[in-house]
Amino acid sequence: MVERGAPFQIDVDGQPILAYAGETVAAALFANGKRILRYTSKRREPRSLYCGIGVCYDCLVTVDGLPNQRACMTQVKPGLVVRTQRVVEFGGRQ
Amino acid sequence: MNSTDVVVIGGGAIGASASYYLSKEGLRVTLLERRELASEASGANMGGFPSQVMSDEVMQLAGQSARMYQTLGAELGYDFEFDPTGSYILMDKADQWRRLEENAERLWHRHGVKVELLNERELREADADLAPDIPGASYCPDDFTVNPTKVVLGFAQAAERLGAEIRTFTEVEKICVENGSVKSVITSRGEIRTGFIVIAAGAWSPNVGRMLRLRIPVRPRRGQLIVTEACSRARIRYMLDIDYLVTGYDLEAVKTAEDPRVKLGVATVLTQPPSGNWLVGSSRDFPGYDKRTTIETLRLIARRATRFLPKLKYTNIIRTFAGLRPFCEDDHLIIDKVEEINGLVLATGHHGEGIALAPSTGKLVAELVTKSHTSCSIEQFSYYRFRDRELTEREMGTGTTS
Amino acid sequence: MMQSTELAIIGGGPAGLSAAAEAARAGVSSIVLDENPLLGGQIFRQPPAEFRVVNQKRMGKQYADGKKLIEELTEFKEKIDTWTGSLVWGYFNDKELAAMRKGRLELLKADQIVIATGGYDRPIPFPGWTLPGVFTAGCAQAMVKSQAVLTGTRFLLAGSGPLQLAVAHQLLKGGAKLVAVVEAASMIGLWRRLPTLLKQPGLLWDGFRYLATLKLHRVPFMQSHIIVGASGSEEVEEAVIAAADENWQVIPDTEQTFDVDAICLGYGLVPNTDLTRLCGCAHDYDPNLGGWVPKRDEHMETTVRGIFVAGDACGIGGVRVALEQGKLAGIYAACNLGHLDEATADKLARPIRRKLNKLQSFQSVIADLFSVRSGIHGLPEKDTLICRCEEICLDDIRKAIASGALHPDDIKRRTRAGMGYCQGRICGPTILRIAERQLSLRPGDIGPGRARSPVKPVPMSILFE
Repeated sequence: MVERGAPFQIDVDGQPILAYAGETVAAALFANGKRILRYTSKRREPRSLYCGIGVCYDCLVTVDGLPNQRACMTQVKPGLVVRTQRVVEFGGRQ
Repeated sequence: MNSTDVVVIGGGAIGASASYYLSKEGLRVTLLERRELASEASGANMGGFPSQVMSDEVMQLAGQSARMYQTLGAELGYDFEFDPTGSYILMDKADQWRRLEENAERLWHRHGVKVELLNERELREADADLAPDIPGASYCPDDFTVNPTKVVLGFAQAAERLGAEIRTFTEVEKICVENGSVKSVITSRGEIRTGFIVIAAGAWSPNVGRMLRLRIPVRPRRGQLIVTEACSRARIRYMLDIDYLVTGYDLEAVKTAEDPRVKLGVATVLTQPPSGNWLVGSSRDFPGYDKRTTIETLRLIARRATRFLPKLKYTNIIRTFAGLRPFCEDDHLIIDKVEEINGLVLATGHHGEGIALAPSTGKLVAELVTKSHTSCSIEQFSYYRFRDRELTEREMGTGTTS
Repeated sequence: MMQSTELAIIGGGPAGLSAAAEAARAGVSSIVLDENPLLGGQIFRQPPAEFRVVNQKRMGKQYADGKKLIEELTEFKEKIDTWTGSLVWGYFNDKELAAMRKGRLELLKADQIVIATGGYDRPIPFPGWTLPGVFTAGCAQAMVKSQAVLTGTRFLLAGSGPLQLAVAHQLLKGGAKLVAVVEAASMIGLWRRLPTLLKQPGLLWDGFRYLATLKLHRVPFMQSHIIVGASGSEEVEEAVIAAADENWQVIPDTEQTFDVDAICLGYGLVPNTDLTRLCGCAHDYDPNLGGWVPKRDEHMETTVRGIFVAGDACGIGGVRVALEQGKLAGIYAACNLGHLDEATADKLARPIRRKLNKLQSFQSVIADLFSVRSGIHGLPEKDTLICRCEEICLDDIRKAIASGALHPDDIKRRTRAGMGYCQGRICGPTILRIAERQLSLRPGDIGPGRARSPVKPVPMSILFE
């Protein structure tokens, strides 16, 4: 039905992952079997996508050093560096 | 009709504290709050206890409060997130040392409060996240932070356990006085017979005073705040802008100032409660009863705060809000018994020190109600320093807004 | 620094786009703002520009309708400016909006505003609902429609209403394996309402088509069943469903377990009222419209003069209602701006209103049939999270209410529920239900809760421009 755009690599937790132009970080991660995006600070429970449309803020990952970005609303770019979140870091480029 | 010994009007820190200490004396107390507890200034502030920047007049009260706070959590059986952070007044420019020194002298010689002056290097060693060009700071180890909403809830719940009745979403509509004595309070949910009323309604005290034809010279002074996302726990978690000592935010300075930051009374206060969010404040202006935040002030707050803590620039803002501090026209508070009406006590006008002074104020209110004299002098808080205490016909005609 | 515009339209979905088109037709210049990189909102979600659509027919009707509407706008490109990647986060003073446009601050003073921010999936908590692999029907739909990605391999769909069937259809088309579609309501009620439903034969036909697809793929369609639990060690591995009575109350000893790695929850939508609350519009409670909705008159104007609302943001009504309401809002905003006189506006509005009346009677039947019933609120256990952001559980909320909290803002203060990133969107509706139950109140007695700037988190750096 659709043909994806140009493919390139992004860095997810230190591993190269295939992504396509126009995709969201969430789509790229899910397509590569990575569904757990972070662990919560109180109960240390795994979280992933929930609403998928930018409302629930569950799908938070660190993108190019900026923590707490919504994976479902962030677009991939060649060389993008994504980190799933274990501990919430202080704001600021990491 | 219900009857009670004391009706406390106002569900903020002062009202809740007064309810507790009155209940401790064995009195039946009914606390009336028109919205939820801590819905106004008491729930919209930084939660700091800044003895370093308090005026001389309140220092004795403050000292007493600080001592009470050390054991209050245990006494109330409530955790209000007491954090012994100390407080740091941060310098902006190198020529401000004199200010810090003078303040340190004032605190020591007049009030026995010891502060430590830190130079640039010592400050950086204390917390490397601070801006590298802060020339120095004044550190007061005895200052602390609390969760202000929880202080109010703690007092209220403890008062309830002692038999007090907390009525939220209840408005006071009329106060009945007979033969010069308080007789009853008519609320949106019925009448309450009582012999004693405590007005602790913060910026809304004038509205209550008006029901008795009394002028309570307090008006709302807005303070805006930014709350960031949770961040890792910092080493220094309570900071104040040197401007608190330099400008002081007296009204004359504000009137004549050209700098928008001074005009809007923006000076940095930063606290980081256990939740990890940074509370970034603050400002001072008189917009009437308007609690909205404004883009101009938020910008000024953010810019000034990042001068001291640059990393804040890269955090996410979760929300902004404002509180309306009760500003008394001569910048001092009111704790007094009213002579003209039997059974009336005023405890209001605490401006930016309501949370800090709540415990000692509450205790004083209990003393005023039960003993008619207080364990320490409250001359400086007398209602009788104001000469025009009765509202004129014309003033009664025009309504105050809320 | 402050730009001005005649009309600011917040939300580029069907309601916002049709408002822009109608307003432009009358000569109004507008700016349409949408947080997403492309226009279309949810139902008209388009695949990314970088994807190439190979077989347009297979993309479905909504893709086509959306594409058509978006292209229509180019007819008015002199009048309609579209700002995608733009989040409206603040409202200051009279009709002064603060937006974040591709990371930069934009201050916009509008003469008139149309709020068309749509809705989002109704959150229904149950034990295990926070597990990775449990998401909303809207999420699965967005991923498959626009990203062509399946969010799992073995799906269970649970919820109520026709939207679920549409999502099931889309997932099957995308090659997903569905182990079951679980519908909380019983279909008997549908038959009784046949006369009204027949008035919208197209929609009825869609419904039958979707059911037929399920049958074709041998996907069990289980009526009067609800999902009661999800479990797994790090991601969802099992879904537990149970039979329910007409009040969605679980019937004991009817549990069945399915091996799944994806659960889609589709319990209908709730309106996104953050901006209407922030702007000071008055709200009313209407269960048929999804809960708290902004009050609006027959011009689609709210209680704040010059602020209009259209689409799901003022009551869940579906795409056709959104399109018509958007037109009304566009017309009357144009009227307020002096581009149309009242008589012309009313004349243009008449056929739209007729259409809306027909549509709305159908919608209210659907809403009534599939409305969430009280039994489902008994699913969360004491330690089930209600506020996902701050990790506040049912017990925490109950304790706050027991200790005297009478209002959602009060519960928020005491528990921190609603203080996290999502600003109470996900926990809000549930907290109202819990408080209503515990305090023996009726839905609508308390709420909806205060909104504050920013309605969604923004980086502090935006205040430096």
